[in-house]
Amino acid sequence: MGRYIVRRLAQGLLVVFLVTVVVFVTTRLVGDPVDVLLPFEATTEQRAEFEHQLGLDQSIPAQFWDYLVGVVHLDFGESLVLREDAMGIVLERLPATLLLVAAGMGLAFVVSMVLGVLAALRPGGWFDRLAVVGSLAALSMPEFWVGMLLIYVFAVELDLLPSSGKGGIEHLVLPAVTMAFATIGRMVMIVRSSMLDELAQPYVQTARAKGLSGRRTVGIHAMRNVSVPVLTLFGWELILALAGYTAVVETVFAWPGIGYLAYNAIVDQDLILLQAVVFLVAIFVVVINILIDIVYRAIDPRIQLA
Amino acid sequence: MASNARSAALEAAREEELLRGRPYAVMRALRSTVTELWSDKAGMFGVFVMLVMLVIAIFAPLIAPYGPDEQSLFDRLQSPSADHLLGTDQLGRDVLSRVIYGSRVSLQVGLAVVALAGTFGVLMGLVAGYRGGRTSSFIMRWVDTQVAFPGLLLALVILSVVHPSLKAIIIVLALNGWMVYARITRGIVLSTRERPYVEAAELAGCKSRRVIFRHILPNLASPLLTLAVLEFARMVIAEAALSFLGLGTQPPAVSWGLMIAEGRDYLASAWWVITFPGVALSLTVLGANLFASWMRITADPLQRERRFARATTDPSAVAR
Amino acid sequence: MSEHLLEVESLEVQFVTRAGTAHAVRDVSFTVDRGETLGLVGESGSGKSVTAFSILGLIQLPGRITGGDVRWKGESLLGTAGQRRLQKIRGKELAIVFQDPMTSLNPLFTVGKQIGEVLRLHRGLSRGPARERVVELLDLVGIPSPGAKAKAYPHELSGGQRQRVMIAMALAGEPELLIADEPTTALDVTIQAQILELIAELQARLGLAVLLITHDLGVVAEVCKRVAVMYGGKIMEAGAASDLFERPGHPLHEGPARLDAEARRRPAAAHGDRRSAAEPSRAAAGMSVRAALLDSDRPLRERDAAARAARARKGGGVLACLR
Repeated sequence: MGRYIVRRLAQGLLVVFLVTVVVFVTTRLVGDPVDVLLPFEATTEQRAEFEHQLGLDQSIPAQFWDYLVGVVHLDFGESLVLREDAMGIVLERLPATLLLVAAGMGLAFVVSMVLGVLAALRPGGWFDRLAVVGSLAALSMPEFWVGMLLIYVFAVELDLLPSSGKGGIEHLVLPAVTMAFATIGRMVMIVRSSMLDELAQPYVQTARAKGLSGRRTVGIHAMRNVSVPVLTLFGWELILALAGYTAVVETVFAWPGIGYLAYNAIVDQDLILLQAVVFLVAIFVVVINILIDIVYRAIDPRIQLA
Repeated sequence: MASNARSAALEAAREEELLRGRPYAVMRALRSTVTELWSDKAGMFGVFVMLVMLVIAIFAPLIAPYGPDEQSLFDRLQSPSADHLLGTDQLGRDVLSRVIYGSRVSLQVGLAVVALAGTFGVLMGLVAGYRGGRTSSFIMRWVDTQVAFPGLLLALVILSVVHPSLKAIIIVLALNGWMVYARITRGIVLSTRERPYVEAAELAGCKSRRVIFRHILPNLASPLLTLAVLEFARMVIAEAALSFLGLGTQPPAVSWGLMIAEGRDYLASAWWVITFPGVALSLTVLGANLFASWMRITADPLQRERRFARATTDPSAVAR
Repeated sequence: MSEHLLEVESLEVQFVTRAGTAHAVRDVSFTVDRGETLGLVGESGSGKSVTAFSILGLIQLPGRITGGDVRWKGESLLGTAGQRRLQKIRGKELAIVFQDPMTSLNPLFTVGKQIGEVLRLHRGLSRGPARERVVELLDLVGIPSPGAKAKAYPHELSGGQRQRVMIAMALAGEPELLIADEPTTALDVTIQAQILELIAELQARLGLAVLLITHDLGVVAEVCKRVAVMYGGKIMEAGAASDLFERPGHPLHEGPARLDAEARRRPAAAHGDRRSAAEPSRAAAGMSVRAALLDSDRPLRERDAAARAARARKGGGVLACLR
């Protein structure tokens, strides 16, 4: 177990390293970095000074070394637009994103567990059919569109909830629901079908024959088995949420997290800030991946972590 | 009983097939697939939607009532009417026409990414599964590592540097999406290789090319096709998301994601500008998902039997 | 005392599916008395497992008990009141051992926890005493180093050991009747004998009544005094085991050639014959149980494969309707 985690951590480090390499290569070698990083109307002196500042007058390996040293110290340089330490800005915005992801994914998890299990208990019934059709529809709709429709209905027409920004709990509702939407669609399908598979297993019959109540049979015996595939998928959804949906959902709702930050960095061509965001997200992805494996092992004794 | 008549008919068909040979067999397989599809309404709907989208994309200039860039500043943000069935946007362009033209980018990106990522991924998977050893572990390490990447964010970084074009979008999305194909292909190749009939073919001295194409590929066909359709759906959404963030299709070109992004500022006064491209997008993706779930069932012999058993007693299916 | 432990009277079970109604059990009656062993014999799909499941109230939709009665110590187990009664005695007075120990145990819980569950539910034991009792039970069914094995997960045990665990679990509630549904079919030959011996021994020691369901007449001859033969959902014959085996000209003694032909047809039929998805395999008409014994040339695995195919087909039919 310990050796396994060490190995996974090493693999994670490799991933983070490769991500920084890819970011370095794309931002410094594809095209002229100064063109990319500096505003169009910069003067020649400004350009030269900027090149020196970034160390672009050095050789590529030397640049790469400096870059790596910076990364190890979490020092990505100053944001080009905000003129502050890039990592500092990102870390400042991180809690908002974590709050949104926790709310959205928490909602998604609870709702899809309930809907999926209920659907599986009466397969083919009206609730089941509704759940299947509903989740297929939900997972077919792009988040940003769903978000805008929600804004239109709940903020514009009904004037019930704020459409953007961060404040009290009411600001969290629409973004969290938007983030949960497609995830619920995908997860309901998986929860439902795994529960159906498990309920058809002989051990469920055994549990009933032992005299256990239906609730205990489903809630403990079948549920534990269902949780193996479901938690795997949920881990994936968490990664997708952090490394993808946040950018879209936070942009729609102007939610001041790292996703919105990334969007603004793209619009402003603030690549240093963008690098910092990507680096942090990469670390999150690696950590979540390792956590999934550990949880997996804790649930299913048949899985050997080798 | 009806099924007796059916099995007699099947018997006759089989004999006829022997007499007429292969092309007839292919025709018959095709026909039975179509009948099977017909009996599954959701799957049928999926195929129908996808076909309609394909036709619309190909014949866009013939179908669209206006050009996609025809501006008319007098007609800004008109609600749906007889002149403009789905209304007009902030520049007075016809939303219907733009939705019709927008299908082109979505389908192009979806198909191209699936073709590119699929080809590369399947090749890698085949090599990894068939070669084994160092090559295999190298490829699978690569896949594992790339899967652990924050793919979408990297795509954003790359696109924000290279300046998005259709080609760039396709390549970036394909770079992000080939790993699934490789994993599935390798998995199936590994499990099929252990089947007795493949071992028998190898022992009988079949060349490895023949083993791959005759004995292993047929097992891959249906899961890969299902995966391709699902990935198509995913890529259509991904392109829309990129365009929404301003890193996909660039104006003057039209894409659904871009239309939604552009309509964002007018959300309060003109709901139709974002609603209809979103509906087109969702319908396309839903169609693909429905088709894929139909195919997944069809690819599984046991499930297929169950569905058939149900269809035979379903009065609506008998009535055909 | 005239009261039987278990009485099954004119039991009817139907599976109403979209593919038509299948009469899985038709007018089945038998009784089991305290301490006795009844063998219920028949080919796969003859309705014997469905009968057992009906007794325990484990028949699920689309299957339904449509007629007859099941009485435990004179009181019905059907209907609303009966169901409540059944829920109380299931796993306690009335326990079952299933056919396939590989899948009948929950893979994610330790063996000890799964047995302990019965003890805590039916015998009201708390955690500590339950743990001790689990070890005793595992010892009783002949599992070596029971203390360690209680902490094992099912996949860490062999097939025979798992079936012993199933038996221990059934015994945990201290039942009066043990239903053994093909308890040895999924095991290999040497283990089969051990498990049967175990059941016989436990019966003698604990004064259990046993309803032994099997397609293997050899098993019946070894263990049972009384036998009921099921075919096509009906009881065709019932009586003392010695009578049945010795009477010549009985359908049981039909030739093995016919059996072979049937068995070869069946795996194919699993794919081809859709009707049978909903019907008990009447296709196996004239199937001779005895023949399975006579025909010892054919490897056991093949015989089981055929039986399993037929069973899977039956299960498939049921599942199809569930989904």
